Amino acid sequence: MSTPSSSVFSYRVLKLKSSDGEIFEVKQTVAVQSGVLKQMMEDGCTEGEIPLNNVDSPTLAKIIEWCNKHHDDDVEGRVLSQEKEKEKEKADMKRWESEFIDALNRDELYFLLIGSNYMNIKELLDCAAQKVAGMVKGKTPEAIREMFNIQSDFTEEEEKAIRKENQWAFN
Amino acid sequence: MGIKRLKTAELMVRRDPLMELPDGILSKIISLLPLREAIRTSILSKSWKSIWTCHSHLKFDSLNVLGSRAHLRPSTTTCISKSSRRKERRKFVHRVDELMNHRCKGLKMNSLTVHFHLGKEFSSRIDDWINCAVMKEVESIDLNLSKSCSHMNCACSTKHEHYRFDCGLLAAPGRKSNVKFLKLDSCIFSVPLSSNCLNSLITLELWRVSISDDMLKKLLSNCLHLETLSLHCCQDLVNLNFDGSSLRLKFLRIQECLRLNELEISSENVRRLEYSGPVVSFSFKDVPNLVEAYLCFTQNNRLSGTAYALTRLASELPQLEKLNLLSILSMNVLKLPENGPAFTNVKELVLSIYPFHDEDRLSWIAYILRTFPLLQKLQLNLFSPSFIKQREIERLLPECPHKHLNELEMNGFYGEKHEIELLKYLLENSVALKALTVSPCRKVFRGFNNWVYEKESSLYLLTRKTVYDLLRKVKLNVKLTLLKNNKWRPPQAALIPNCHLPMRSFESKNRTSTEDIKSLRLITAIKTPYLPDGRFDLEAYDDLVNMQLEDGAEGLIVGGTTGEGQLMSWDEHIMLIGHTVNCFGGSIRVIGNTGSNSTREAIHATEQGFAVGMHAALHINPYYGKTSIEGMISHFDSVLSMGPSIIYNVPSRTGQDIPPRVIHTLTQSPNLAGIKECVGNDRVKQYTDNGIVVWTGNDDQLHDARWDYGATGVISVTSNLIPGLIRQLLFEGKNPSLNSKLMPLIEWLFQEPNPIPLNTALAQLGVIRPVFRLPYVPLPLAKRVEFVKLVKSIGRENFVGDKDVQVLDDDDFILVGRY
Repeated sequence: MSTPSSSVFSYRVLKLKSSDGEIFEVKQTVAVQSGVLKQMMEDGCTEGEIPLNNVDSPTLAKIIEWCNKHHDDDVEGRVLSQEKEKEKEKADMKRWESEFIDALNRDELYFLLIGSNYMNIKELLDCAAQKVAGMVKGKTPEAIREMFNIQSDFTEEEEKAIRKENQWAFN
Repeated sequence: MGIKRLKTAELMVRRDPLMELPDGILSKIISLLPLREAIRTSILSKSWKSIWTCHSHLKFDSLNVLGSRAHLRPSTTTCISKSSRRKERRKFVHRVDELMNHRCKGLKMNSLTVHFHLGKEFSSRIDDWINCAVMKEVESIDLNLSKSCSHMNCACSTKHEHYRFDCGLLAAPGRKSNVKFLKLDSCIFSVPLSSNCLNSLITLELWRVSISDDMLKKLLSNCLHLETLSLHCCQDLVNLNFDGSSLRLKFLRIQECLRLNELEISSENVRRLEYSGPVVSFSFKDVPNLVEAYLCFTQNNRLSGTAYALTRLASELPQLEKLNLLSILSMNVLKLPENGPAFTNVKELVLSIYPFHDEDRLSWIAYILRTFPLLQKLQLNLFSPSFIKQREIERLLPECPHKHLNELEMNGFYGEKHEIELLKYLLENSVALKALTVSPCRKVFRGFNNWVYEKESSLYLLTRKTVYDLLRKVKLNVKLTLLKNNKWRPPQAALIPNCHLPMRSFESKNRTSTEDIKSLRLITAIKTPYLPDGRFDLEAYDDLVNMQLEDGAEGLIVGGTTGEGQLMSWDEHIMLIGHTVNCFGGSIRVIGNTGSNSTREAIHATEQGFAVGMHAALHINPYYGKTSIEGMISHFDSVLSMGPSIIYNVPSRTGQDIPPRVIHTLTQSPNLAGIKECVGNDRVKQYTDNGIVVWTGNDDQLHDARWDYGATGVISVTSNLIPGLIRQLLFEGKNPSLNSKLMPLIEWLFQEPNPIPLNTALAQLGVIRPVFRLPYVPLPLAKRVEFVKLVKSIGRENFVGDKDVQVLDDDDFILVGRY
């Protein structure tokens, strides 16, 4: 901290501390994807370790992987001579994203949603939410209950009443 | 931490972790579902009951609200009575009312979409919905109240009064508006005198909206941030005038406003104009940024409109960089001046022609090359009508060399004569052309940079062949992309064709037909003999060839593996081919092994080989380095055009099998004579069943291949020693006893990599000098003794040469490394 070079260094890299105490170093240019960190940078309070009490280290590692990928392949930022190239790059990114999300199990997905919501990383949150929506889409309520092991706590009459209220949605 | 504890605490009934997400995230997920499905989640459990009300994209249409697909059926079957239509409308409105009531309690709303045939009688309801959405800070509103989106679509529909949309609704009292996108279809638009409720608008689309000139002007003066404006079929508009420096408008689209008479644009922000409809009088003043234009003239006077776009527009919009013109009349009827004003800044021109008649004289294309001097990209979307008359039209087009055009795209190219002439003319005149894209699919412009390809055409192969043929005739070296269908294809479809001109001679002596080659049965892979210093021993070579001639070989592979072509320099190789043609070309077919694993070398050698008169080429697939199936096809494609060719498949040497589908693809070339196949007789049969000519490359299988598996003949190593006997096996019917008698000799010949045993044998027969180019070395003494015994058992008279066979000493052999 005492030498000028180290202070420059600490200025450009954020130290993120996960809920289980592990420290991750992230470049500022990468960290801006998180709305929370961006705000902190603007407010100039990123000195030292930034505690992220809602994010454990495996999840934080995943989140940083995502941010790094999206930083490196910043499609908008680079000048690509051909539209086709741009399209291709976008398609590649889409593929990477879906592989990234598909590789997660439900617990990991859960923590990723919580984490990205907490850190306010819109794209990642959207992507993960889309994954869950895809799991639910096209299923009957019964199938959704079974899939997520939800016990209905409605009485029969209550359920009937709700069905009647929005009957058209259930036909 | 808290989360983890919660997870482990629920060991009894393990609920899915995803269901433990906070409501905020859950409602985000639910928002991604269609509204109908989102509502269904309300009965999952008590905690789910109201999550759906946070759904932020509300779309109310017939399917979503009534669950009816009836509107998709043809209108004739859905002619519902007036009263039931009224009932349906009430039902729709009632349900939307209920949903909006629920939704009012939820969070921010992103979009509200209503697609249903509703009129004035429901004004108050619609107003309420918009009010509710605006309260929830909605950003996008899409009201389509036209007949087309209701299931009550039938001829007997009564006229009803349109809903009147009041702009004042867009901002809640005392708050500023959030609506960025507004699309209205079949409404009446009313603008309050002064209002800040339109401030937030960025995109405004009006379809079939009754709005007068004055009203639109007033509207625009209030839209301080509007960037995109679309007007479709707004039939009350007559004179349009876009001016004012405060106008941020960048994109302007006007479609089918039939009563429009004048269109005046003087706004420095306008960048793109898309106009389709009748010809109007355009007036452009102070439009320094207007660089993109799409024009399509539809009504009676479309002829003058199209002519205008190609002539006067150049002087009225000199800054134009990109012009997209759809001509819905034959370009033939256009009267274009000799010297029109030039489009000095246009770099990209998209010209769609409907119809493109076969009688078109194409004079317009010369006009375009002249008047667009700096054009770099040209896209032609052709729509040739199906009734092609194939009349002979003489087209005399002036030469117009164009120095800047480097990208040409042609869609809807069916390979008809007039299309080919158009492409040929462009290829001949575009001296700087770098890339050519041709597709048999039509490409249709759908507005706002949105292009649609029609579905895949079956004409792809035809197009491909036509274009290749054409490129061969014209001297160009361009990157060619052939599109098969609407999807962008990865690079395998984009290949660089052999569009160079092969060195070709049309002297009759040098012409051999593929059929000629197909009929050959006994082809000997001739050995190349050497002088003691490693140079070719042409004297011995001539003797060898003469012996082959005498004993009935019909063809020779020169410089094959047996001839040690791989140890030759290309000039030695070509020299030997030339020499063989020169001395024996009249009495035997000379097939040069001009294949290589480098396409460049293969092309070069094949070209030279044919130039020195060889009758056919033998082509190996790229060995050692190998390539993909597509790569193989492209490799062979590059050399097949030059003359009759035999493809050679020997996976044991190349390391890669040529799968039959490659051969089946290549049979489209008339130059493919056949295949030399070493994989075995099952593969041989697979080809011969399909009428493909095969020579087996395995001497041990030649008898069976010829008589049981349909092979035409053999490309043989053994025939270097016993051409007469091999001929007997091929020509004189089945002869298993002779075949089995020869088997020990054949086995002896292939005990080490060919041509090691063959070289040893020929040296011991005294027909060549015992000189080996390294890495080949003679067989050991014991094997050499064995050979002499084999000769004696088969009979010396059956072997080539007339000297006594002798066992050579180790010292007799000369091995040359530096040859």
